[in-house]
Amino acid sequence: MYNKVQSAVLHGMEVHLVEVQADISEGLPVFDMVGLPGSEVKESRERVRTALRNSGFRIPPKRITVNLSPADLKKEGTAFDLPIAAAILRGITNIPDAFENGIIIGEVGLDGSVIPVRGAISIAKHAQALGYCRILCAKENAEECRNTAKLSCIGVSSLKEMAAYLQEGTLPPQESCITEETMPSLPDFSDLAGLEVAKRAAEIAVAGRHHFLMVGPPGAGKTMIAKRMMSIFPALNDEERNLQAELLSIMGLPALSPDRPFRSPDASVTAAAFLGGGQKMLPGEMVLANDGILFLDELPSYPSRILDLLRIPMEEGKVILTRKNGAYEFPADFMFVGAMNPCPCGFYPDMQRCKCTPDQRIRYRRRVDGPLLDRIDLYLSLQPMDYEGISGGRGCGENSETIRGRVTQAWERQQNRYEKEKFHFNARMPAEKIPVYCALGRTEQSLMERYYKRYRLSARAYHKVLKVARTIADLDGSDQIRSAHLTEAIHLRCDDPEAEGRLKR
Amino acid sequence: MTKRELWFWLSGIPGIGAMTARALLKEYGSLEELWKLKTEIVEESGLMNLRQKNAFLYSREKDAIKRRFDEMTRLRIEMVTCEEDIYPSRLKILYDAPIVIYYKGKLPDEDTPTISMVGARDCSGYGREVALHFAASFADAGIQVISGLARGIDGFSHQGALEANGRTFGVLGCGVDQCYPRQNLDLYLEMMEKGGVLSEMIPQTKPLPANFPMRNRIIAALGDAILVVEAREESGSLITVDQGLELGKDIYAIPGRIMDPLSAGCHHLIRNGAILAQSPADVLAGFEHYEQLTLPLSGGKLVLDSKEEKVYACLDLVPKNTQFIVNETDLTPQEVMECLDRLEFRGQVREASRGYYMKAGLF
Repeated sequence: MYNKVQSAVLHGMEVHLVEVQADISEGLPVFDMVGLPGSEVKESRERVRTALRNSGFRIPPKRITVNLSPADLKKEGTAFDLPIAAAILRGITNIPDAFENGIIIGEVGLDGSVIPVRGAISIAKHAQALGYCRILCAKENAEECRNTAKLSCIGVSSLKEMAAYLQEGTLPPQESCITEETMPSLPDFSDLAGLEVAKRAAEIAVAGRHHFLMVGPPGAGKTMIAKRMMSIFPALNDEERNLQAELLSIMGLPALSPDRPFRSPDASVTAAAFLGGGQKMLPGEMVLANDGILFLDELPSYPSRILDLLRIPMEEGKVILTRKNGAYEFPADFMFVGAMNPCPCGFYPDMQRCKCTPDQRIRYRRRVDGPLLDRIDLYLSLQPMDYEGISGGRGCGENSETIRGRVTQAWERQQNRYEKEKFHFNARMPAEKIPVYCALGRTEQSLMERYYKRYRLSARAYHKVLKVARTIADLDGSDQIRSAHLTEAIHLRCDDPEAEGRLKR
Repeated sequence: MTKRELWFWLSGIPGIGAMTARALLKEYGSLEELWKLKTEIVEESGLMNLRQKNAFLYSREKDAIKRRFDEMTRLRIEMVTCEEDIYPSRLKILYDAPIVIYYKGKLPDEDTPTISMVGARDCSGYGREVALHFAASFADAGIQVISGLARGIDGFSHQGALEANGRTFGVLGCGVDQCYPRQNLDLYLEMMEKGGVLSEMIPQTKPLPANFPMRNRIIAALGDAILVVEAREESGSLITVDQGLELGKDIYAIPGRIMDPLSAGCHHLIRNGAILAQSPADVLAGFEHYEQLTLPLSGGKLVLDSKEEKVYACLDLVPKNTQFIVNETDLTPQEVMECLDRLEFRGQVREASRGYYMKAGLF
């Protein structure tokens, strides 16, 4: 007797449907499994058999053959336990519901309990797109799917519950999941008085999602600024929240109410952890920072092979992993925030304390190489914190909520302006669109020409200044880029590393 | 072998400097005889040590010397020997005057007043401004500027003179066909047009540390006076000053802040009798006996609006961060940036390193 159930397998962020077929026929009592199962899938045979017996089902002494179709697709992961059990159950009990318009995923324990699996949200979304209207999975998976996908999610906590549902249609008690709209309590910018230039730069960076580099001596407040940048981001919108939930679900992390991510991998991060990959094709730090901040402190201490990996994602907003069995694409539209010292000892340009030779300084700066700096729009130079700054002698500065208000407005302006475009933020504007959206008046044109000559800007640097000026104009609520916007943008421009060397001959 | 080729040979023997070469010439009569000197006599000579003797014997290869000599001519490297008339007379006061000078571009003019500027390689923003300003003032006054084409003060001295269309000469510690340090390549090339680079080292000599004290004595000798811009307590610049003192040159030193280690050397000099140079005029006063000297005009008066006035008042010759100016004034970051931009455009302020500003060009 032959039965089938639909399931799915996750490859990166892609989902492939898999049909689980189980045949129970006369013959020697064996349990065979075919269809290119990976080692976790092979082990599922023992789990399913024991779990069925422990749940009170008697497996007849017959020949059981399970096939996972298409048979040429490698199946990994533990999500096949539940569909295999379901297919066998249909053969040994009288289950009328073939669950034909639904998908089953889940892992089972030996006691018959159903355990959540990674990537349920991706599978639910894919199933929905293909026209399936039900998904049967562990309770925890059902909860996270319910927030993002519109198909009906049936959560079961044991094989018995699944059997009851399939036989009689009795739905196990479904806990509705409440997601409260609470802003997580983040450190606030009002703590930082006397750092107005830095706060302004952070505001501009977030407003246009510009990649941002802070250079300053130790204790200047670089890390404090980076941490507080989260507090001026507008809340995640539905689309962003769903994508974030999906990524967390692929990682096997709690995906119920995702926050905007702030990832800060340390300098010992491996290429695989940074970019993603490994046997399970898990997303890396750059992917997990999607729609949030990727913060690298002490930038020159990262190996150059890690920094080189940043280039393409910083520009294209995605990571593509090419492996022997295909290319895996992940979103990686993060905002890069870097922090570094101006020289190995950290005190330059305070010549009374800096003991580095010009050569040491240049060599240190060159570790953050040209191609990376080319992709950074904003450069902030910080001074050591003075006593009034540390002691709080300047009182409170502007708080994060006020800044977030301006940023939200700037974001809205950009969404409206770029409605028909592929990009949504000034920082992602391709060069060919710059003349369209960053047109300058005559005065501004001549000012820009002056800057171009004075600072010997490259074509790329010129474009970056215009994009930043566009963001400043958006913060200002202005449709036109004005001279003041250009001046502020040029002040925060990010040069090539030779510039510092050129200044100090 | 022509006479020039023989000079070329003698100056290029490794380990034999000006002193030994002169002693050999005195002992054995002439260049030609030195060239033909028998191996036994060389081996018995008391003027050279064993390594020098070996180098001497090994160097007498006619073809190799001719080839290198032709190569030098092809590279348009000039050569002047101590016998020739155009040999810089200022060098003749040295007891170990170089027997040959190689140069590209021109040699310093004999009758024009000349100053040597020396100082730290890792100079401060203050040192940079001072070097640029003084060198430009000297150039305006018609004084030639000599320095060592190194990083820091040397480079800025040359640059200041060039920017004021003056004549400036670099004395190298390597062959004149080499540019060391590499960062100064554009300066090196420009100086060949508007002045010159010179060295006593035969072309292709590498910039070995041992060459630099030898170079310093040439810098000391070529200037009518020596100006120390910035120097630490134990600076190489002070060696140049010692050599200058032996030659009877006037020493000028630029003061700094009392707690600044980069000015400690200068203060030490002033305490020991160097002339305090607070403005270029202090140095120019010492050149009064030159008739063709033109004294520069004093700078015009600053006209600033009230915001610019506030910003400008915060600045001095130590670089200040934009945030510092924001904290000191009651202006917003945007206002400060605009003021700095205008001041910088007018040349009253300079961005010393990214985000750090200082006063520029006004004394």
